[in-house]
Amino acid sequence: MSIVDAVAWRNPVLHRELKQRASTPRMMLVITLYLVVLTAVVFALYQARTGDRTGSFGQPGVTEIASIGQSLFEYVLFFMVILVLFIVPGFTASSIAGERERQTLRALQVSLLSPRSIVFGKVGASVAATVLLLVASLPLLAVAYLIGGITFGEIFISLGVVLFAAFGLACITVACSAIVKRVSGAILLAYGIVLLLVGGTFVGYAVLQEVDASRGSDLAQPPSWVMAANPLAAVADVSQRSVSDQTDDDQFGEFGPFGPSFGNSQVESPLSAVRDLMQPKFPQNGFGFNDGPFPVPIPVGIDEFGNVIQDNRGGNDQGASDDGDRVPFIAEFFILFTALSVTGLAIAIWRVRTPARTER
Amino acid sequence: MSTLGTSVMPVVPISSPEPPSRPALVRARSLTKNYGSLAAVDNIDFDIPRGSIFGLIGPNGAGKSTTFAMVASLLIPTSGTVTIADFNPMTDRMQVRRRVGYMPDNIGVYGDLTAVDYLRFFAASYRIKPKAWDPLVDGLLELVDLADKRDAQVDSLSRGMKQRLSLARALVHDPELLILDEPASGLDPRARVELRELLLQLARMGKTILISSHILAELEAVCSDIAIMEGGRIHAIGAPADIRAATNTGSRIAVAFTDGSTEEYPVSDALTQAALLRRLVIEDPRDVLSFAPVDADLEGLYMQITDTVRAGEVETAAVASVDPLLDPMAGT
Repeated sequence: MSIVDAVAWRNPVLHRELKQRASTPRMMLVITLYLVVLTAVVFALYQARTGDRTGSFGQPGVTEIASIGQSLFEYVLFFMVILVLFIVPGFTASSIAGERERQTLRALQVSLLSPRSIVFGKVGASVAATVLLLVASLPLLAVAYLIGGITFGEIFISLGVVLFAAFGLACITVACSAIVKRVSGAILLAYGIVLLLVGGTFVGYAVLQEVDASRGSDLAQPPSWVMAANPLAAVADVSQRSVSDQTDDDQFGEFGPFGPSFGNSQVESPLSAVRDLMQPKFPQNGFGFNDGPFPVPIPVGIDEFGNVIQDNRGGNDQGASDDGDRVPFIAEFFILFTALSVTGLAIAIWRVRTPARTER
Repeated sequence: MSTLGTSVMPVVPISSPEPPSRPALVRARSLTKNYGSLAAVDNIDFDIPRGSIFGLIGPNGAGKSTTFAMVASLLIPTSGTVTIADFNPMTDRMQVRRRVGYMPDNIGVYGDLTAVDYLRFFAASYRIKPKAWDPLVDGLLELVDLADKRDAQVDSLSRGMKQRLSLARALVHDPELLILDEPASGLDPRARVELRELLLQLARMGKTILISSHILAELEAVCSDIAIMEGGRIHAIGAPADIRAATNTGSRIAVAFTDGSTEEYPVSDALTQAALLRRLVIEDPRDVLSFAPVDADLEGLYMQITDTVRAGEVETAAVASVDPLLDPMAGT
């Protein structure tokens, strides 16, 4: 039995989906377009950074080179996440609803395939297509790696988070596809959920932050779990670990994923913008923060003489003894996204299962 | 000229089907499916003997597809039971699916696949080992007369070919029971004849076939038993000839007289027909202008039965027997 036959026999739905995607030019076009855009961005960024910031001998200094590598890394990661956010719902939304529209679903349902096989086949094909896109962009990550400032482990972890987000989104979208009868409706619902997970959580977080600030909190920062379903925030979190000082175990400490300042001011990327957006707000401006590895006094207020009141626990979680049990943000993301994924899969399997009380 | 729609029908109401002459593969008892207050299928009973072709006749919305979906383990009945080879689709789903090949009313196909890949896909879906795929697929394509379209894209096939390919798909796991929901829908006359031949061939191969149509003549040509269904209920069931006899419309002669009047007379055989003509010619004061047999086709029967039921004249008409002349499996 050839490998192809083995896949076709183990999960014919997965095999058919992969074959169908491979046989149409759409996938090739998407990969080509994506790589062209990403390569242009990386090239432009590299030119801008090497042209603007040079060391004393007209060449970028070591720190500067590391910063460029980190920026490129974050840019590529950002595009990967955006790709996942756009492509995965597009790839998956038609999975079950498309079978229904084509009127092929009932033929699958009366076969000996379990609902689980059908749903896993659909999700697997969608994730596989996304993996292909991500793998295609690896050479660009390699450029960042060669420039410096990031390690192989960091690339590996960040890609893991992106892939996990892709899997989670595929699970959520397959549920949309199983619930909504029309493909167009499933696509709308899926993108609506993505908008809610990304835009909605940002807005929610910002609103909570404002509410916090308006109540006179010293440090207006909503709980990090508000952002825990946001794949962009999760990737910003893990990539931050790489662009910050690596001596810290939990980068966010008491301030969660978007703790004050990260000591990486030179790294400019959309992901750093995400982090900036989520910076805690203080009642007055003008405090500089350092989230570096060493304890740095944190301004927590102003006394009656106008002096800054400082908390000496530090800018990070060093010495934050009362935070020893705090769940890292990335763990919150994994827990919440796993729950969403499992729920999505369960809904999809339930919707595909027959016999049912109503026609599905 | 026909009086089929207005005559009183001497049907035989019964509460459940009589025991079939052969063991039943499918048994439905008090099968009911409600959608809210709408009874899509309303307390129906039927037995389908092994090797028979059982036709379900009714207009759109009669409950045929819902009945099929319950037999094919897609829908849960609101009440009542249906069994296939004594397996209940609700509790023995996989056992039923191994025995049932289902072709829905709207044939959906994967247009991007070739005919051979399409059947391979479903062979895998029925857990058939890859080494058996090629001989199986070739045999099926041969059976449905699509061997020369083996590598053609499904999208490029005509509707009739897609229908036959879909039938091959339903046969891929060699099921005992074939459920074909409106298989002739949208086919041209040639494709219908080919499909009819194919169904008879499958019956000769021992398949039990449950088929629906609203084109009644199609079913009369192939079915050993039919059930007339409307509004979720079966109003008549049995061999087409038995139903015709039960409605007393089996053979009639329409006679036109020279004075412009016409009358219909029932005739049971050639002797009564000859006696009738002799009586009309010799005894009747009117001169006979012409006479012609009135054929009670299934459409007329259908109209008569459902009109009668609507008028409240009978509750259910059922004739549970197999006409050996119409049964393609008779004597096999």
